[in-house]
Amino acid sequence: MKQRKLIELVCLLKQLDDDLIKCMKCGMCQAVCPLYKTSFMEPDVARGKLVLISHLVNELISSPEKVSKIVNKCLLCGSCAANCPSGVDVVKIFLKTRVIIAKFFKLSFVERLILRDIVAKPRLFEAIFNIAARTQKLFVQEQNPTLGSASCKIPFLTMLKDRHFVPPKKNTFHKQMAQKQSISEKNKIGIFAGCLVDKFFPEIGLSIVKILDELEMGYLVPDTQICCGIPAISSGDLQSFKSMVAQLINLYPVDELDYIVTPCASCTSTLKKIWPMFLKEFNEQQQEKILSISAKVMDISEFLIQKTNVAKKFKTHINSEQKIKITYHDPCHLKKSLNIYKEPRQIIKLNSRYELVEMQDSDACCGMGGSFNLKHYEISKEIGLKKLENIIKTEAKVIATSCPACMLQLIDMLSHRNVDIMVRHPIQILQEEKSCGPHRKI
Amino acid sequence: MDIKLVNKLKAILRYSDVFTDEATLHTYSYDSTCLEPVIPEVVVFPNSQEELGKVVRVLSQEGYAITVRGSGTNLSGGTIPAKQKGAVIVTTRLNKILEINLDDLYARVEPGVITFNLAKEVEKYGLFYPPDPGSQKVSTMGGNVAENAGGLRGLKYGVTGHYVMGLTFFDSFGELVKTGSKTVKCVSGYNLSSFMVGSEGTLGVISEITLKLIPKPSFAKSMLVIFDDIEKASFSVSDIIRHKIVPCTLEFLDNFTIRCVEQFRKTGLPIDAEAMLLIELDGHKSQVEEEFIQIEKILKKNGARLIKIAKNSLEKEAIWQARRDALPALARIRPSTILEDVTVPRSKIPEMIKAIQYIQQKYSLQLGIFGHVGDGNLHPTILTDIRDKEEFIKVEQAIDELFENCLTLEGTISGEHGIGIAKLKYMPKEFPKGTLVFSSRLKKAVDPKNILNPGKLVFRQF
Ligand SMILES: Cc1cc2nc3c(=O)[nH]c(=O)nc-3n(C[C@H](O)[C@H](O)[C@H](O)COP(=O)(O)OP(=O)(O)OC[C@H]3O[C@@H](n4cnc5c(N)ncnc54)[C@H](O)[C@@H]3O)c2cc1C
Ligand code: SF4
Ligand code: SF4
Repeated sequence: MKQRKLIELVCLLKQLDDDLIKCMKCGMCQAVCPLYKTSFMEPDVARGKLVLISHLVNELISSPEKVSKIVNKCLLCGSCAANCPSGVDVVKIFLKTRVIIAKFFKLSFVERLILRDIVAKPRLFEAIFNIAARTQKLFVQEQNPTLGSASCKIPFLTMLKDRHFVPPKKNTFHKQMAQKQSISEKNKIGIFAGCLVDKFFPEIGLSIVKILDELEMGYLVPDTQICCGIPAISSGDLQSFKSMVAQLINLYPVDELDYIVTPCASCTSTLKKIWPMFLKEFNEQQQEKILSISAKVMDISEFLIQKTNVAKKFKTHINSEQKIKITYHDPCHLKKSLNIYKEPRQIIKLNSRYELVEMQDSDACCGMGGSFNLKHYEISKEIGLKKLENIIKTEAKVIATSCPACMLQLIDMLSHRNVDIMVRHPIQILQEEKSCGPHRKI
Repeated sequence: MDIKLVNKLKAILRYSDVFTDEATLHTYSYDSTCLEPVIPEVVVFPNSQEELGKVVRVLSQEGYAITVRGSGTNLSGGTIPAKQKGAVIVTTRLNKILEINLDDLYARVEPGVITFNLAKEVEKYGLFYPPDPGSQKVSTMGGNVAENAGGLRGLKYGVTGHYVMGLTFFDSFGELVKTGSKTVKCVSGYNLSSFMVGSEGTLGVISEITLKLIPKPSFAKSMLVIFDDIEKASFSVSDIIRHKIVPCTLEFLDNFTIRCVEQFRKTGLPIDAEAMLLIELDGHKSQVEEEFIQIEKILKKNGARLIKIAKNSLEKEAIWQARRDALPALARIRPSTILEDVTVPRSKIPEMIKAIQYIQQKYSLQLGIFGHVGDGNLHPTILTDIRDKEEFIKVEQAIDELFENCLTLEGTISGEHGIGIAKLKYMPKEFPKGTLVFSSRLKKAVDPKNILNPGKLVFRQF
């Protein structure tokens, strides 16, 4: 890198100095970093990455290219931050560094294409998914019907590798909701499904709607789905992030809503934690909206347990001899980022057909990490396989988790092993209780 | 970079186990000590004991200065590489527990095994590996042996060195040395295992460790005690031991630390208390219960303001949470945290604490004290901002004065954090010339080229 450019980079990174200095290099993050546990190398763990950034700031490093690579190789799971004795805001430092670095090293062509030209443009994004959903027969091959997984028949789609994925659904959540809006005028709840639920798991969104109907609560589902911005900001693409946030905040009549609920841990964490980190990037009017949305967003389980009488209304006492074993995986973005881990379990326990058994290390990262999975599939898989072993050991028939991204990863792992364990969102478990229809035999 | 060396190393290891790129080298330039980083020239990751031996041999032949590194969490600069021709060998991938022997009560481990993982594993068999440094979830057994790490259970169970039955290590030429045995007794030859304990990577590269295990005590009970007076707290500690009761853990928190912990966790600790003791007894239930009653009497007699006994595992957890919170709570007050380590004879604790408080006021520093009072081992923790040069000079002066006081009280400059680079300058203050010359001759004899972690622990010339 040219000297002038390097100086510019250093200047920008200097704003992180007050956060960086808090790291006392104790190394305790090694105990929890999923990435470190695959390589046992310092560049993979938070301490190593933080030292590299501060060595850049202190002008001890001359070639920042490799530093950029190292900082970008991270699941952003926040396990390190949640366990850091010094309270270093690691995720914030990493995201801001990625943004600064991205100014100097251009995003790859594919990243730019996907983030700027597709995801940031909701209508186009949707149209592409629509085509994919309609034409999937041509390139998708069913793998495991219990999991609803499939793999790709056409080798040239190399990005998919040998993944077992969930094919996108023709009927997205928001489309299914277009004809159906809330009847009740009692307290209004905004539903933010998130892209993955909207396009891959619309049934989770529908479960929420049914539960809110049952609770006689009013809700609102906007007629478009806009990305929360996490894929953009994790790639350091501030421009796309800003464009997504700017569109999203206008989607909801925030003042009229009591809460905005989401079934996606990553979206919840993005809206609550990451949006405020980048507040200064927005104008005053936008800032106000961001803060007010951020304050009103709640994880769906947290919302139901804390703000509704779901526990009374849904609690059943079926004394079935044969309870179905279920286990729960804590998404990093819910437990480590927001300290929410009790409520999803409480929701599951409301359905007395199930018996909740805890797996070992239920809060260990599943290895998904959003775009990390796309860029480092082999490592992602290695981390995921540890999770898989712990799930299998419980002998559970169902694995529940509060994040559709984790669900995708779990489905991929389970499907490769070809085990018949269903992957569900806690909300589906709850709603299943209420619908009381003929149960799927497990 | 020396291409010849790299090629030789790559012939031994996988291509992806040898690093010479700037960024990776920078991530091996530091440890948990607050010192200037030094960038090594090469970093290698052996995957087996055999590879480790070969790597040592090649580096030795090429005259590279070898710094072995476990998890790099030591607090004395022990893994900061040498300034010239520095090579770092990382042992984190040598992390297999090789054997747990239930008949002869020992475990054999590779040096990169994490302390906590070993403790958990032996517990499955009803056995106990007691040394539990605060860093146990990350520290390696190689690092523990090489630093002779202590922990919270030191008072009753001793430190790492007490559990080392035997070792294998590579000397400065890459020759394999085996010492000790799997037997309870062994007096064959020099006690080279002891020689390696606390050697901070300056005498050899440890490749395997045989550790003593003991049966897991069946019962444990904890209490939290509040005092209005440090002296009373400290006298109680000695008094308990005078009554021939040896708790497995006896921890202390001073007023500053109590206040920080309370602010951090808000569990209703009395913020006006001058001292807090956390005591745990373990062993057979009847004996523990009996000794507990005795301790309660002793504490009351010595003027304890409040005694809280944990009635169940939840309450016990809560009591120890306060101790676990000490460092995190202090570390959040200011940007930088300097964790010091002074040890004095138990009876000198009140004087040492007074000295620390005097120094704290003299240099107007923010400082909290916690530590293993049972062992006379205190961790005065200085909160500062290393970017503030003026304040940092004061911090350094304060630390110097801290150790002077500690030595006057017949203490030692390090109870568990090691000498490394950080404390080398205090060595002549604690020991007579003879000790230093002897150590230096020893080092020269086994490492004539001075390639094993040079600059740490011993003076080359004296
Ligand atoms: C938050 C925190 C709490 C701590 N609490 C305690 C405590 O309670 N008690 C305590 O004693 N210490 C404590 N320490 C210090 C430190 O964790 C210990 O010294 C530990 O033993 C270091 O282990 P490591 O694997 O990180 O070793 P490293 O730091 O990697 O190495 C330490 C020394 O051992 C040498 N070494 C490592 N492996 C080998 C080998 N295979 N052969 C030869 N030499 C080798 C190195 O060269 C170096 O000199 C604490 C540190 C931190 C950051
Ligand atoms: S745990 Fe926190 S303070 Fe310690 S090294 Fe990791 S990031 Fe730094
Ligand atoms: S965010 Fe996760 S993967 Fe990244 S350094 Fe922290 S613990 Fe490791």
